[in-house]
This record gives sequence, C-alpha cells and structure tokens, in this order.
Amino acid sequence: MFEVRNLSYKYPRNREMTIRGMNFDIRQGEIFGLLGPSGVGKSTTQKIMVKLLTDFEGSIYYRNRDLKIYDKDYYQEVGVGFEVPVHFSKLTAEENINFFKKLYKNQADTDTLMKRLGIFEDRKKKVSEFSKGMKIRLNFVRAMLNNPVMLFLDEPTIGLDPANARILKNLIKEYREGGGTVLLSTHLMNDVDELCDRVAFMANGKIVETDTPQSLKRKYGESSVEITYVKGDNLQKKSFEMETLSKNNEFFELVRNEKIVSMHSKETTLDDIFIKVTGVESYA
Amino acid sequence: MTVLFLKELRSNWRSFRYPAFLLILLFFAILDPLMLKYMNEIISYFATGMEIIMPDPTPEAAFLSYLSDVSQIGIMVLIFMAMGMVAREKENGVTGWLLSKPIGRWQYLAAKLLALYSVIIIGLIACSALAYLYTMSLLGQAALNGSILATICLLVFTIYIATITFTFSTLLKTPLLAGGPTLLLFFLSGIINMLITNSDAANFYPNTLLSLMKPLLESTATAADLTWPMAVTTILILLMILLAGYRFSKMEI
Ligand SMILES: Nc1ncnc2c1ncn2[C@@H]1O[C@H](COP(=O)(O)OP(=O)(O)O)[C@@H](O)[C@H]1O
Ligand SMILES: [Mg+2]
Repeated sequence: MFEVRNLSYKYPRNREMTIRGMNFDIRQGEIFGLLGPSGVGKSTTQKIMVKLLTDFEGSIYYRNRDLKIYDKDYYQEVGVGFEVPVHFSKLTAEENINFFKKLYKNQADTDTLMKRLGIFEDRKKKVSEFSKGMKIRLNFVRAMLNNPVMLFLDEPTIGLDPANARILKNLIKEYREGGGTVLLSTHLMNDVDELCDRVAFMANGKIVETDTPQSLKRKYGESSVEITYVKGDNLQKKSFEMETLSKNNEFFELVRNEKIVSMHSKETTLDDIFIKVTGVESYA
Repeated sequence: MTVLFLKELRSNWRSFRYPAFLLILLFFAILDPLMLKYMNEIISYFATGMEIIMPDPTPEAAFLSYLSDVSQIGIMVLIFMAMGMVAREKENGVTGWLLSKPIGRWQYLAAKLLALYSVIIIGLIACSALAYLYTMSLLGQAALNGSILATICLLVFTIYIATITFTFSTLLKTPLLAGGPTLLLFFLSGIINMLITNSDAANFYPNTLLSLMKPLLESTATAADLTWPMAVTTILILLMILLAGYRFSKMEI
C-alpha cells in the first residue's frame, strides 16, 4: 500500500529535523502500528502521509505511484482520524457528519457506526455539548465517512473509557477483516498487542525496529521465573532464566529447601521492548 | 464547494459573527436618520437659554451619516468578525481536517471568501436601502443617483478591507496576529488619506472611495470621478486574493 523511503522532514520554524530518514512499508490489509514515545514524530509522519505537510525529502509511494502525483481524489480513498478531534462545535453531530459525507462518492452507513459507538441518541446535539469521549468517538465516525480503503488513526483510543475503547478496537479489527488497511500510531502497548499485525518503533526521528509483535517478543524475549521465598525474617526474590531452568541446580535447591511464597513466570511484554528499543518508558 | 460555503454560513451565523455585523449596520441605518432629524431638538433641550443656529438637516446629510458610521465602526466590527476566518481554523486544526477531505486548498479559501462577500454585499445593500427609505420618511428624499453611487463606494471599500483581513488571516498564525495588522493598516490608511486628499495621488488611493461619498451625494462629483480609485481598489483586491491563495497552497498545515 505504502512504500516510504528515506523520509526526512523539518518544520519550517524549527532548526532540528523532526523526521530523519524513515523507511517502512505498509502492506495491504494489515494494521501497521507506528510506536514511539510522545514527541518522536508519529503525528508528523501521519500528516506527511495525508499530504498536509508537503515539503518533505525522500519518497512516498501509495499504490505504486508517487504520493505527490495524487490530487484531492486521494482523499476519496483514505480516511483520516487526527489525534486531537476537531469538529465544528456550532454544528450538531449529525450536521458534522452529513455535511461532509456529501463530499464523497462512496458513503458509509454512519447511523450504524454511531449506534455502535453509542452516540446516535445525541446526534442532534451541538458538538460543543459533547464530552471528550463522545468527541473522540465522533472523530472515528468521521474518519470512516467514505468507507476508506486506507485508514490513518492517530492515538484513537486515548481519552476513551475501557468499554468504549473496546468497541472502537473491535471496529478497527472488523475494518481490517473487511479488507481495510490501517496506519495506527500509539504509545499504548495494550492496543498494539491486540490490534497490530506489524509494528515499527520510532526513536530520534527514525525507525529502529520493525516486525510482528510475536517475533519481537521472541527476539527480545528473556522469559524468566521469579521466586519469592522466606529467608529468616525477610522475603527474598530470585530470578531464573526459563530456557535453562531444567538444568539449573540452584533453582532445584531453592525449591527443595526454602519456604516458597510465590512463583511467577515473566514473559517479555511489548512495554519492555518499547523501553529497550526506544530508551523511554511508555506509560501504558 | 457548495457544502463548504453552506457550512461557512451556518457556523458563522450560529457563532454570532455574521449577526453582529448585520446588527451594527441595522443599528446605524435606523439611528442615524433619526438622530439627524431630532438633532436640533435634542441640542436645544440640553442648551436652554442659548440661541444656537443650526441648519435644517438634509436627507443627504442623514444618509451620509449612516454611510460614514458604517465606514468606520461597521468596518471595525467587520475586522473583528473576519480576522479569525482562516487563522482560527488553522490554529485549532479544522483546516487540517478539512484539507484531508476531497477539498482543494483554493476551494477551501474560495468558499470562505464567497461567504464573507455575500454577507457584506447583501447586508450593505439591504441596510442602505432601509436607511434610504427611512431617511425619506423622516426628512424627504435624498438624491437617488448619488445615494446609489455612494453606497457602491462604501461596498467596494468594505470588500477591500475584508480582503485585507482575509489575507492576513490566511498568512498569519492566529486571529489576533491577523486582526492587529489589519486594524493598524485601516487606521494608517485613513490618516494617509487625510494627508494626500487634495493631491493627484488621491486618485489612486482606495480611501478616496470614502472621501467621494459626500460629493457624490451632493452631486458635486460624478461616476466618472470613481474610475481610477475603483480600478486601483479592485486590482488590489485581486492581488491580495492571489497572494493569499498562492501562499496557502504551499503552506504546511
Ligand atoms: N507545527 C509544528 N511546528 C513545529 N514543531 C512541531 C509542530 N508540530 C510538532 N512539532 C514538533 O515535532 C516533534 C514531533 O511531534 P509529533 O509528530 O506530534 O510527535 P508524536 O505524535 O510522536 O507525539 C515534537 O518535538 C514537536 O515539538
Ligand atoms: Mg502525536
């Protein structure tokens, strides 16, 4: 779907480059996760790919054609959900949707979408009376107005309660099952584990790692067993590598001789990988 | 395009920006003829004992007073109303959102400009007609030809200032950054106008459109006197639209 090569970008007012040579592909029908700490350039990358920031270096190919060749018909095919939901607050939710639906040749069944997201009842209210979560849900509906073939989502679940985040994630999955392709940027690893077919980690304006969540876990995985036991009056902890556990005498000694309080197996989470490859704590 | 145009009208109407401007026009259309008619009574009421000799108010003076109030206070309200038309949307992300729809950048600007122009044109013509008729019922009929020409002068000048506001709003980042320079330019051009009003340069100066309103009403100027200032102002309007559109088409949103 997309081939991005040596993408670099500097905001006109900044001295430093924000994006410094990114390379990645997005394949048709996948959810591609763009991950990284806040301020690393995820939203900037999305804005470049939806042609709002145009003065970039490097090349971007969409469906084997240079992105620069596309005119406004590009937007007939793609759906965009920005990080900060923007709406016309003086217009009602329904007007916000119906006004802009008219711009498209291909129009989605927005009533069903609104019903599933629980904002159908409030469609006659002005958006200025909406709560933050409702605006975020409306924002998603508006990204889907045209039944896009390619969907850009920038932190779609931030600010949603768990129940609504659940519904939204299901909708994103269904969208993929229906053949859609998604570029999803986020710093929430829960979403990634559940949704993404492949992920790319960003650090310092570059992509430092791309793979499926499973192989990343395997690659960076150091599964271990942590044992807590009583030693005198204190509790003590000790970790053992899972791989070599069957040959580890120290482990057997401990299990045989000490009073064990708990025993946990620890698998590497995407959070651990996030910290490792980007050097920054995520705050999932 | 139609969609954008209608959206622009509707959200500006509901946010009270267009109504504020129209109410100001209406206010002067009704108040000014009334003020002129009763000016002498009012003054003599407050200044009892003094003998003040005032000429009787003419219908031309009443209509002119409406036009010049609009050309000052009306235009200032207009600047406040329009200074955010693009800048506000750039600031809060609406522009980015709209431009990620099948909407061209020129289209986006054109819809806004057309909405603004239509409100100005319709509002000014309607309120001027009202002021004219109201003056007629209070003080008698002002010269029709001159009144129409003077109204056209005000209309073109107002559109000129609206276009300046629009251009600054497109080029600059926030509504206040756009409104400040526009107001400054508006005052400054008024001052410059006073300095050059009797020189030949006045012919090529937009504010001359305002200076001509009085002589047009009094039939001491004719339509022919409008040719140059009208041409210059129109060219300036077009140039500003082109500048705004060109810069916007390359802007990083
Ligand atoms: N309009 C802008 N002008 C200048 N710098 C910007 C602008 N938007 C974002 N930046 C800078 O670019 C960097 C990346 O921002 P962003 O893409 O929003 O990061 P992310 O989405 O990964 O949190 C940040 O350092 C931010 O300060
Ligand atoms: Mg972001």
